[in-house]
Amino acid sequence: MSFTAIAYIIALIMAGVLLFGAVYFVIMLTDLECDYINPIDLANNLNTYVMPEMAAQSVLFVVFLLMGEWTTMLLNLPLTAWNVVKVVNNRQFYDATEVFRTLSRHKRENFVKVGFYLLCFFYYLYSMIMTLVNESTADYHAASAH
Amino acid sequence: MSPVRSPPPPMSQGGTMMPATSSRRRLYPEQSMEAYSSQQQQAPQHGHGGLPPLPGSGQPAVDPNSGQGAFFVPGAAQPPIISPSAAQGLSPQGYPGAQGMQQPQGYPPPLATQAPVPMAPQMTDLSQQFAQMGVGANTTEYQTALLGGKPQLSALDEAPPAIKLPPSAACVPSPFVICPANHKRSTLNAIPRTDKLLKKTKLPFGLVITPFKTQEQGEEPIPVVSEIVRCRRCRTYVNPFVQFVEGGRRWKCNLCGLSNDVPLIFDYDSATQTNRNRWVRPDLNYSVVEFVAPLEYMVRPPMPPVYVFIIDVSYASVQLGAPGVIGQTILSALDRIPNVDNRTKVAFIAVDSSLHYFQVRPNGTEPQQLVVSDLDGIFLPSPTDLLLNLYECRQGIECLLSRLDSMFKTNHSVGNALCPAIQAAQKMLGTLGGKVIVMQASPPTIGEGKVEPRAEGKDLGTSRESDLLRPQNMWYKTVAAECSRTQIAFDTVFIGQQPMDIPTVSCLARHTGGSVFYYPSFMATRKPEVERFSQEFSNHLSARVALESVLRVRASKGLRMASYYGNFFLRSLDLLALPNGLPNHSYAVDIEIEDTLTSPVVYFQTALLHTTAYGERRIRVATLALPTTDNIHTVFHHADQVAIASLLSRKAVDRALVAKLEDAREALQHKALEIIGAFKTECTQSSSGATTQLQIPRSLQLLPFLTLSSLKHTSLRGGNNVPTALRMSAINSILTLPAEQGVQPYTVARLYSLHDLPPQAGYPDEQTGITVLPPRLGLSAESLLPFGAYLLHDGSDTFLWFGRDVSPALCQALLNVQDVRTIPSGVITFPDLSNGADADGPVAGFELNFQVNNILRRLNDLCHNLWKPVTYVCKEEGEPVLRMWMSQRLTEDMDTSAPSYQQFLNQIRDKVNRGNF
Repeated sequence: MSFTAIAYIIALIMAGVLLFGAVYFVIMLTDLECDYINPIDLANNLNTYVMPEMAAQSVLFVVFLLMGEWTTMLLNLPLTAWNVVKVVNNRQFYDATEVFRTLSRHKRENFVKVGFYLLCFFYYLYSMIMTLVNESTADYHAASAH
Repeated sequence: MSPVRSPPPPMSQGGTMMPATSSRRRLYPEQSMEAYSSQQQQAPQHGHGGLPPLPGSGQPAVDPNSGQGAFFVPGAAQPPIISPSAAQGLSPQGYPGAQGMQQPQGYPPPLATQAPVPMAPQMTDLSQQFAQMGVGANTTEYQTALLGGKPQLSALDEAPPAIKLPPSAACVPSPFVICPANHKRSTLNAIPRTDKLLKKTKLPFGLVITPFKTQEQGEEPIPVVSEIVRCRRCRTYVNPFVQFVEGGRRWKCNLCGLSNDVPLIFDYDSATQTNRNRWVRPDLNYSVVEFVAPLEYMVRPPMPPVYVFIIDVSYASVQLGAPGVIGQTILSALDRIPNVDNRTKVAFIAVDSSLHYFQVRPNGTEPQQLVVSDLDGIFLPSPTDLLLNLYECRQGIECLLSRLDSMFKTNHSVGNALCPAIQAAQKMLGTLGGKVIVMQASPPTIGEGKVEPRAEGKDLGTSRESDLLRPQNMWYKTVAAECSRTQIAFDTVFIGQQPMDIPTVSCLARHTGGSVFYYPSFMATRKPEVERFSQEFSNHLSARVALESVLRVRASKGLRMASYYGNFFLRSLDLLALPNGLPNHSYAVDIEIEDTLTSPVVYFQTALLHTTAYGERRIRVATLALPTTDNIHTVFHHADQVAIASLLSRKAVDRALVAKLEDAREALQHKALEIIGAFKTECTQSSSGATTQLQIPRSLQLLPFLTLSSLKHTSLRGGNNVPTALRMSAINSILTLPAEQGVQPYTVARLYSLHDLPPQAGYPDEQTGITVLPPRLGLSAESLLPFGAYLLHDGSDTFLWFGRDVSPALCQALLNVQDVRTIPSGVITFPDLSNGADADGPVAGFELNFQVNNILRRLNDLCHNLWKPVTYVCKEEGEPVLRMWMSQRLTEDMDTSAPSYQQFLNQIRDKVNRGNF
């Protein structure tokens, strides 16, 4: 099994985790809207996951960049750029005092993320299978050539 | 419907009709003023004469005078009367004939009968024509003013447009069912039924709520009810607008429409076993009531009032002499701090580069100072006796406060450990909650929340200025959010001119419902400044407090509370957490219309659940009922300009804090333009095309002026001469002040002339006993004559302006000085020359001084003694700085950052005429 295939397997798992994360964010924000949760708790809760999520996403981006998987890299580029902009402007965290004002924006953002990670998940799955299939056919050809 | 067609008006069509005396189309300001005054003389004969022009009678427009009914008559205060049908919005027929008469001869009635629902501008004209033909239309209902001339400032003292509810709206015909405007004020007193109609008017829709309002002189106390009855579904409290159905066995909630059982207690008192009359219940008779909350409304026993004073004693503070003055002020206010049942607790933490705690044993006299200089892990040096019971430790506290000055006189420590002190206070208050009063004279330099000095000089007046208004770090915000949960509130008091980064530190107050005070020119040696600080601060300490309170806003179906403005922590979409509610704090809400409103009346209910200073849990409930309408004219003519100005200025400063100052100014200006433009296209016949004179509903006649005043106020003023600290404290005042004080005098100052005071001014009125105020002057340098003396009052400051040629006799009578040259320029304490001898009458020769003192007292009363104004003497040829400060408050005049009122109107007119807004 090649390094590319391993990378795709890891990416697949990560995309799954990130997908769950984004769904969790959406659930929490909806809870806030329905008054099931206090904005302070929400902020404390979500802020612990903000940086890990960004880190995981950027790691994927860097790995694909280094491996030269250009399509996958480009797929990840917009979100990475968006995250970088947020960190540079110090806007990445949820602010308990402002969260209601920005609630709709946060919700939209997280819905988009859910969609994006879902897309990524299937794309990585496809890419992984393709890589494995290509490898095995290559192996087969190599073996038959001998 | 009689197909009467109005004969062509005698004037040229198109533009606005001028009074009959002038058929010219263009009038210059002076001429238009003249036109008004000549009209004023005629007004009585037609307005109240025996022959009101009857619309639909076929002849009114022939009479040139009748057209004037539509014009604004300065001085003739005619409250708009609304016919019930118009108020209910059942038909557009309530629209005045006078308005209809202005319409051009264009559209014949037969077309009108086929017209669909009026939507397009032309169609609106048709609806006017409908209105004109309406039977029994009232003629003097609405008035439309022309924009031009001088703003009629007297309109600010008028009551907001009357709320006309349908006769059966309230279940008991009580005079107290209309919610007082100073309690809850809506920008629109007739609410459009659909969002589309609201968007068409461009008017902002929102409420300004002062939930814990100060009780004013001569006002009846709020009735107290002990049984709480609420709707099962939406938890609305019973109010005068519920309906009793099924023979009075059930009541229908007016907010959600659910039928609830009427509890037995309404008719029968089981304790005394007697029948009761439900119709005399206060909660069915008064729109504002207070319920005594039972145990279910408490999560813990009611907390006592707790105050923690964090006093800066670093070198900067000692130099100003602040610790001594603060100590003396608190000492003299000890008796005024709410402490009915001797449960009140206080604590003191002095702060320099280390923390100084003060320990007093109950009944002990010697305070013990505990100094902690290890600030890494916050701990309390003693488990007890730091939070002192005000009653038990009184002697020790007095001793401590009187020694505060001498204790730190020689302190040379320059650090400021505010952040550790806040953490310590948090620890001290723990689960108890309370109020932390932070008094700062230097920026915090130690701990996570330390602030770096920001050089503001070159950024002022540029687009980078808005960055200075944003907090430097998130520490204070986070702490404030955490504290609001444990019922800890912060007040921030900034003393002196050192850059203290108020935008960062004042986040503490902003998100916990606290107040911000700023005394830039404070110094212990300046007596007027010390007086101001002492009085304002001790008034603040003695204010009634609403502890551990939450404010919930409910509204009828179809309405949604979109955003809130003020100092609070928003806990959920309709719940504001106010750890420490204050009487002078108000909150504004933006309201959106989500669904079409079908009922003729909609309701807003605010409930403030709080603990009083004497340990009782209470709920203050205020219910506001407002009629709905389909008629765009009714909406415009029932707009409340003061509430609109208050809401818009809050929105603008809020925008300045999150976006850019220019955006905020732009948005504010644009809103005024939009409203005037919308009125022109929707409600006047010159819907498109240029007009020489813009029309505006009389209820909104001051909108341009109030907008301009807001633009020129310290909070939004352009240019590079407003220091960030000053702007920030002004922004905070705008966000918290009730509409009544925030608009006038805080934004629009009052100007009086003192050289020609009417004889009765400054003396109590014979009937009401309230001091009579002299007539107001326009806020323009034109009002200032060289031989006059003037008084300008904007709430927090008072200016005495003396002309070059003011008579020595006046100086003598006012200030007991020889002539104008001997009057000291700058800050003075306005003397009371009656020598305290006789409060009822003046000392001979000093009548003027007596009158002015009374006027100043009355003006202060109008502001609920929120401020203790410092009096500045400003002479015509005096110091330029003082003259600049004063001229900044003369908002009709042009200055470097904004146009004059006339120019502003011209700009608006040009833009509206061009249609590009």
